[in-house]
Amino acid sequence: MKIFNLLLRPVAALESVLERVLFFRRLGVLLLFALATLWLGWQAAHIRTDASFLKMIPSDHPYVINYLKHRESLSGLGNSIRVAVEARDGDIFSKDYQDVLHKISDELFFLPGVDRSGMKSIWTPNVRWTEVTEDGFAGGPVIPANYDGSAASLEQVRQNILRSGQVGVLVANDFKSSIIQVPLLDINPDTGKRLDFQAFSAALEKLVRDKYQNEHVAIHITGFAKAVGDLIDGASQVALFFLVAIGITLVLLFIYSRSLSCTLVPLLTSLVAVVWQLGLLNQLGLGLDPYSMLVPFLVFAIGVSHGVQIVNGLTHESINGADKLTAARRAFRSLFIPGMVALLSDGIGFVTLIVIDIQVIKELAVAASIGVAVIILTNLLLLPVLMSYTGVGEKALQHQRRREQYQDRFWAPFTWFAKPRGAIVAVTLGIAATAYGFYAGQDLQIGDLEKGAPELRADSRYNLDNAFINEHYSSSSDVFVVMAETKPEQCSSYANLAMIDRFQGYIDNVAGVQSSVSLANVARMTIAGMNEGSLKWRTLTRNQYMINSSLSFVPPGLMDAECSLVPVIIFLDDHKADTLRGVVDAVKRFAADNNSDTLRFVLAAGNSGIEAATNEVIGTAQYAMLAWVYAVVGLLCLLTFRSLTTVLCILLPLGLTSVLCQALMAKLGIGVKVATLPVIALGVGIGVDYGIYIYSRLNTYLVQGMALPKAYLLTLKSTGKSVAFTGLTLAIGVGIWIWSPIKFQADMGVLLTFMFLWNMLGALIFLPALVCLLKRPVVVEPPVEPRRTEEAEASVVRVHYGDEIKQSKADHAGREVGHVVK
Amino acid sequence: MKPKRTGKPGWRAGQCVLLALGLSLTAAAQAGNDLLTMPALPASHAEHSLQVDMARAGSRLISVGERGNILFSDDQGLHWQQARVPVSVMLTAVTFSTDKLGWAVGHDGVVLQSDDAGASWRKVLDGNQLNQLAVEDWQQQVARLQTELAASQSNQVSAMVSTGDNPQTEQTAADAGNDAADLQTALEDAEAALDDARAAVSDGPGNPLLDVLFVTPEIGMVVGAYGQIARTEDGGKRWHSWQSQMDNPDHNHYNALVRLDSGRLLLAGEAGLLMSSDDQGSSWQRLDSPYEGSYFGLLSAGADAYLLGLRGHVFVSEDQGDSWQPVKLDTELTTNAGLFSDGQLAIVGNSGLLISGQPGQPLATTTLPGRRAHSAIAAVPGYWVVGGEGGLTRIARTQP
Repeated sequence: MKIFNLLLRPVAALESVLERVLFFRRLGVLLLFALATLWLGWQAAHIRTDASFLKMIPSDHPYVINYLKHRESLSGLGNSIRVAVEARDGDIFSKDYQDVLHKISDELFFLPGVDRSGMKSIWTPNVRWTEVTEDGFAGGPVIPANYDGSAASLEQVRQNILRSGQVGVLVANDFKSSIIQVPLLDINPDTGKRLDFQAFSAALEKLVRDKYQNEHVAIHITGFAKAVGDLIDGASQVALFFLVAIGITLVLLFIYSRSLSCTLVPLLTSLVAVVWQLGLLNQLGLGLDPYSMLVPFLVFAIGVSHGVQIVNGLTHESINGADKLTAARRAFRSLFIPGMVALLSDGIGFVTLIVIDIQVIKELAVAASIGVAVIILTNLLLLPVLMSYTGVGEKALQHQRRREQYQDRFWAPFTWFAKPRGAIVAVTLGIAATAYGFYAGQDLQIGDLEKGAPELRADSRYNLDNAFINEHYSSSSDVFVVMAETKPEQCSSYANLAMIDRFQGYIDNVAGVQSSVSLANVARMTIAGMNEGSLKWRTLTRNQYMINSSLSFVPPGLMDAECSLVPVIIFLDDHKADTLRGVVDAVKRFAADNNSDTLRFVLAAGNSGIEAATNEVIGTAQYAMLAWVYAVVGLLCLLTFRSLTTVLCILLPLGLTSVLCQALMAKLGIGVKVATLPVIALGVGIGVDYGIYIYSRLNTYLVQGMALPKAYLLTLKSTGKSVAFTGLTLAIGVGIWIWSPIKFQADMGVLLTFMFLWNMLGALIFLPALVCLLKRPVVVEPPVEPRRTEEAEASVVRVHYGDEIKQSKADHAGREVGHVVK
Repeated sequence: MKPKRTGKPGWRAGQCVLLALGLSLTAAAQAGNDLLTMPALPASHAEHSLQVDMARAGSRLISVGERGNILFSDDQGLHWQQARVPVSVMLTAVTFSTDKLGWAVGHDGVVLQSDDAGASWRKVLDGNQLNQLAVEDWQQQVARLQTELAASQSNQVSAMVSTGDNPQTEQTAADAGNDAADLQTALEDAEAALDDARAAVSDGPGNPLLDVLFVTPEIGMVVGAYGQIARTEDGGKRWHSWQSQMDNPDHNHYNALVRLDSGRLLLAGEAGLLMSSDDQGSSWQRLDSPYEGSYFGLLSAGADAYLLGLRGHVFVSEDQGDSWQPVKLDTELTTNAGLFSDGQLAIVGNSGLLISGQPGQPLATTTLPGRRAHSAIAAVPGYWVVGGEGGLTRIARTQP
């Protein structure tokens, strides 16, 4: 109790100071807000969209640390794009096709950021055919020097392709398409800055796809730069969703309030909150990544919810006959503290996300906390001041009075859950649902489950392109890299290469592995080549001179500059968590048995290696995070209500939602991943408010000695209505995300919508049932003793008892006052 | 397996010499992790790994390939099981002298033996021992030549001393002088070969064996790169290097060995190397080679013998190898291995090449799906089983 006093006393003191400042210096306050909004709006306009790869991975995980240590050496591996040029009619052995391929090859050659020397296609001179002859090697470029597009020279091209070993690599297995492989530079030489993937991706679209794709030729582009480009493009479309969210909220608000000012003012202040949040984010040097794009939606929705509560309070005061200013002041006075506490609880719920060691999630936590903080300013302070000018409007007041009439009929059925029989039914159903949730949730997977770039939808253009290349070429886009570290200049010694080759023989037999490639393969192939192509020589020899000469040309990315690192590139069937775990375990076993002073097999790089690290972090973090969220929220409830049974009544429905959410994820095939992990914390953090406010309002009636069903009906008519409206607003705010072109945003949208709606139902149905079964007939909380005003003031709940009692005497409509529900 | 430190000094010495090259030559067994002593890893997908030779043990098929993988199938190549193999080097050839007794050879001079029809194998020789055997062989050869030379020189001297003006004896003396000069050359060659053999000992066991043949359960020989050849007459208890017996001064690779129906042995290899033996490999004679390029395979097809070479060069002999005629083929791909079974001939090669038909008739060339290189082939009812880059595959035989 003392702790609670300590916490709330400053807030209470703040409230009276603020009230005086706000309402006696209204113009000054508005000017201040206007200036701040201008400045932060200018800041917000400059916010960067940002999809830094490094931020999406757990940078402190040992795999990632190993990867970052070798990042420069590995860069030749990853960052390239592949442009597949498909002949829609016929095959690649036509003059027209080869002309287009040649032109596209040239076009790509001149794109800024392309590593021209490393570019490969059947038109580049570095792609050669070789053949062992009696005199040694013979060879030449795939496109002969005397190529003229004639049938004879096309036949020559066909022969050369077959001899070049590029079928399945640069030429499709069905000869209906071929690939231009384009390695990218880290730094754009034109600008001297890091290569802008979005701009590069846009240039690809404009100069290649738009220009050359037609009824004869199809273009398919894959690669990290393209995926990131598409990701940012897709994320930008989310801005459009924001407009839709505003539109829907506007309509709902008007239906709810029937007052133009009651609709526009909360909307405006919520938008101000969003602007401030974005502006502050930019001021802090943070960008808006595809994950934190969720935050403005949440801020807007939370802002509107709080706005609605204040408007409700104002309406009530106005119905009671207060003038605009007085109504606003009273509403502020009664709502500032509960609103503050509710927002603090949201903020604390978000902050628990910081336990997850992934930068984007941490930034999401920061962004969401900032957002909640600015709502305190805009919707708890600015909104009442604005409303003190506009007022509610007479028509709206009339409407509210009329609406009282049919409220009882609507809510009465819900009171069944507050009676023993209904309560038993509800709780039984709840237990059954929990059991089902646990059962179905067993299938919940960690990580991404679908093929292709998991950030994008399976039917996105990028993933279709990716599927095309996977289908027609012998390669996988799921790449797991194990790094073999040696002493400097030792990477190609026989002993080391022999162990690396042995490792490949081992890993190739692990479930989910298709094949592997390393420097050892280059040595083996070339050694066989030096021995007239004989298969019996396709192995490593102890003759170091032979190995050295076999490695006189090494494709980029297969060793580092000082010859102390050999990446082993492992191609996987998929990137499911089980597959990755199997590979990781296998590598660890091999490393434990074989690592020595001279050679160490180290995890992990490649998209799948990083994902394995992410999965490990998420696998442990998901329970840590749940523990934190529930501990924090439970503590908050305990401080507020000082009763374990009450905490149970509020938390159990939330727990059911969490369990069902996992079952839903399992059913929809959504894995626990960077994008979905925060959803549970957000859902619980916001969802707990429903419970807190329904219970606190319910308790005020119970304390007055009302029977539970009656008390609950009164609660529903006031707080319940707000809860329903709030749940709907929030659900709409995030529900629109279901249409996001970005897969994980859609997943977040689905899950948050589910959680917001189900938490609402949980609070409206399971909470009274639990109260009925756990608390009845004993009223745990002692009645308020008016003498102990200090304590009453210090407690959110009790402050409102006081209000409530007075108001109930004065007017029945008072039940709507005094309780913010988010 | 933890690294042993015993090999360190040698390794350092190697490092000092070669740091200048940017890459160091490491003594082979610098760490405990050596493929010659590490058993082949269990490999559930081994039948998809590189397989380079096949043999039959009764009704069982046995295939050998990379990383010490030996596989056997008791259902005509439909399913394969992995054998227990004590080494992890690439194995290049396999043969069975009885239904149970098998021999396999591979890189690093490895010779393996199985007496349970290929289910388990033990190492009987490796390159270290082969190198040692070669040194002994050349030492004996040098000693023998030195003795002969000494004898011939004393003959020459005595001939010159004993004669006055007898033209007959003068002629003898001249002959003796010529013999002595030949012996001198042979001795110098043998001494050079001995130096090479000693150098090979310190270089380590790196040179591969490439084929193995047992004429009887007792008499067999292994051949390989750089003119390596060793022979046994007691079922592998003792081996002798046969290098000094061979007319192969350039140390060309021996790639393939075959026993013809007549009992004659043929040996083919690098740069048109072609030899025959009529005494179970005890002595070998050079044959006239129809081609200057390398041969990779030999096969016995009834009365005929086929020589398989680079770039579609295939030759047939109807007289046990004394004369060869080119086989007209529509391919320029290298041929690696072949088989004659039930009157049908099949030859596999690089880039999916499959040549089939009947001896004496024009042969058809086809390309196997996947265009992979193969160097192993076996016959089962209705199918060829081929081994190569993609592992082991059954291919339906086209009926003649």
